[in-house]
Amino acid sequence: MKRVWVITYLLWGAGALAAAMEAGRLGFGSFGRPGPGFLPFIAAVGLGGLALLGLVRTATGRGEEGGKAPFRGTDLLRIGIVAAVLFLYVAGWEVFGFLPCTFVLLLFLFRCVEPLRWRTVFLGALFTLAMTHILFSVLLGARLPVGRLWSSLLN
Amino acid sequence: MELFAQLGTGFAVALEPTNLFYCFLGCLIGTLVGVLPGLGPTAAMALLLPATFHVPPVTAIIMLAGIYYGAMYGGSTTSILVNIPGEAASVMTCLDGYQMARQGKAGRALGISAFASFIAGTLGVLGLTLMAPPLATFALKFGPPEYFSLMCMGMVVLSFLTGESMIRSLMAACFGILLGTVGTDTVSGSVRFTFGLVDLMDGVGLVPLVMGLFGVSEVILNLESHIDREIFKTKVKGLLPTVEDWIQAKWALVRGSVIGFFLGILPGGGAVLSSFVAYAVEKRFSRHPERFGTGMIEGVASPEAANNSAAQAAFIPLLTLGLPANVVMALLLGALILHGVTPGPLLLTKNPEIFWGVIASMYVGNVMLLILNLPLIGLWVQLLKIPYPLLMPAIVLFCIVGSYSVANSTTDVYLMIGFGVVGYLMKKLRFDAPPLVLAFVLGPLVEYYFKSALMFSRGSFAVFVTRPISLACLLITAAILLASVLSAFRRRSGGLIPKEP
Repeated sequence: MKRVWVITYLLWGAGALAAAMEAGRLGFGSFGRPGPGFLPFIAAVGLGGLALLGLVRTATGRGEEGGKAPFRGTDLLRIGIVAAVLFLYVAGWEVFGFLPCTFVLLLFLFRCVEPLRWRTVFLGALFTLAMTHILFSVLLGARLPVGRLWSSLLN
Repeated sequence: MELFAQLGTGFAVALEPTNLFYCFLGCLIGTLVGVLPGLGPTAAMALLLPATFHVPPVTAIIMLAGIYYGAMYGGSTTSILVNIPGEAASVMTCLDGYQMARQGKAGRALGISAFASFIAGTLGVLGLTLMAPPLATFALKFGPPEYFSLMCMGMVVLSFLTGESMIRSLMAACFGILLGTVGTDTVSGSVRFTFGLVDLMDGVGLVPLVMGLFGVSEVILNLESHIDREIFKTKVKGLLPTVEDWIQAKWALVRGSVIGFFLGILPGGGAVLSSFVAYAVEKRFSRHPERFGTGMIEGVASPEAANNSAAQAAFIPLLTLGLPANVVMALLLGALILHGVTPGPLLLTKNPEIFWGVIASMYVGNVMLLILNLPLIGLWVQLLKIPYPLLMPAIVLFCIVGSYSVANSTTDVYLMIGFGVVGYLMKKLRFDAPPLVLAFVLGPLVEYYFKSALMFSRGSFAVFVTRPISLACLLITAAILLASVLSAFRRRSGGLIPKEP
């Protein structure tokens, strides 16, 4: 448990350091005439300082360690898969378009995340797709990506 | 008399057919997200924010506000019938509400909850009507130093009140400020933290951030465990509270309304804290505190009154000072800015139709919610039976499409998914998202007011401490930070405060 918190604070600290360096490059200015890097620098220093404080508290046994582990390996794997699928789904819009990609995504979500019967999966996917299309494309006039594949076929 | 005339103008705006429809829609959606666990009002508002771009700002805010206070009403239904709070502010209603349902008094619990919500909500709007105009007039005296100090105070108070750890809440706030600086600096024209991405030149969008942190992260979190909704099988009848119920609950209702109102105004107070405090106060005032948690009607009336009153009161600092008291108000602030309206004291004079229109719509919305929540209770019970695996893909899809449709940008969608993962990790590691969102919204304003104040004082920091309001805000901020440090020391020396789990 302690290790999780140490890693967490170290990651925050590293992020803060990188942000502070970038803010310094942007130009801190002076206290009387702050530059574009002034506020990011202050925020990054604050974040880094607090991360260091958290790290010290954890290392000296006054922090949050001792509770139950926040993650299980299987949870992280499942969440990693879902996040990767979502990224791939959005990347697929450009080529295949919104509707086919969304249908496949919905099949995945209905079937793989919580196994449902195929009939429910298909009906659920079709219903959700139709509702999304009606709400966003028809009623709200959103321009959802058609995809290069369908554009070339239609033209 | 002037107040009545202005309120009359507000009612003229609120009762326009379009605004009436959007108010109803907001209340309906609010009740829906309140009833269904897994999607809170913040995520729902972020989800529907892009849909409001097609309507005038007053209509947009009327609908978004309706979602917020509607969720306060709806949350109690799930608490009473399923023992799962529909949203965080209804946690305390579970304690006695579910016990009442088990004793066959589900109808009475739902009835008193709806009436308590209605009465407290209306009292809250009345307080808002009376307090907002003088406060807005007073706030006209505020200059950049006062706004800077007030916003710093808001961020620190919120971090202090919302999180279990001040360190982690302040870290989230610092991260929010950093995210708020992404994009082009309006003063110098410098491009900050864009990593060469053109889509980030305008900064990180509020919608992808909020949808990711509150919508997607909640869905990811729910992937870990099954949400079993076992609705208590009882016939919901007798929704109208009896005379005995009213006598028993009247003071709980009044105390809950007052506590909710004053805690709702404070930054970080909000509906959740007020419902907890109201329940605790009610238990303390009761002649039978030992019976709380066994189905006491006061245990339902008090937190429900408090959370609804707080929801209305939270609009006071937003509409008068431009200072969001909680994350939902931060989202509304963002929505107003996106619509080209600057919230603050000038809103009353420059856009009275928005100021009074939104307030008047709350009176109308409260009546709508009473109608929605009592006769339609059967419908909400049926909705609770929809299995979560069927709802989850729809929520994910709505988040994705909603995020994309703001600027037709896939970068926004990638950001939203990324923030979803960040939000999930933050929840698991007990970092609070509200200070992050508040700091994200306020960060650019803080920077603007800070630079303006220094320009005004020709680079002298004395401007922040020589003006009384600014000094008072800074002293409060310093006192809160000092109190946190002292509390940490007391913990170290094995004092009264127990060690964090």
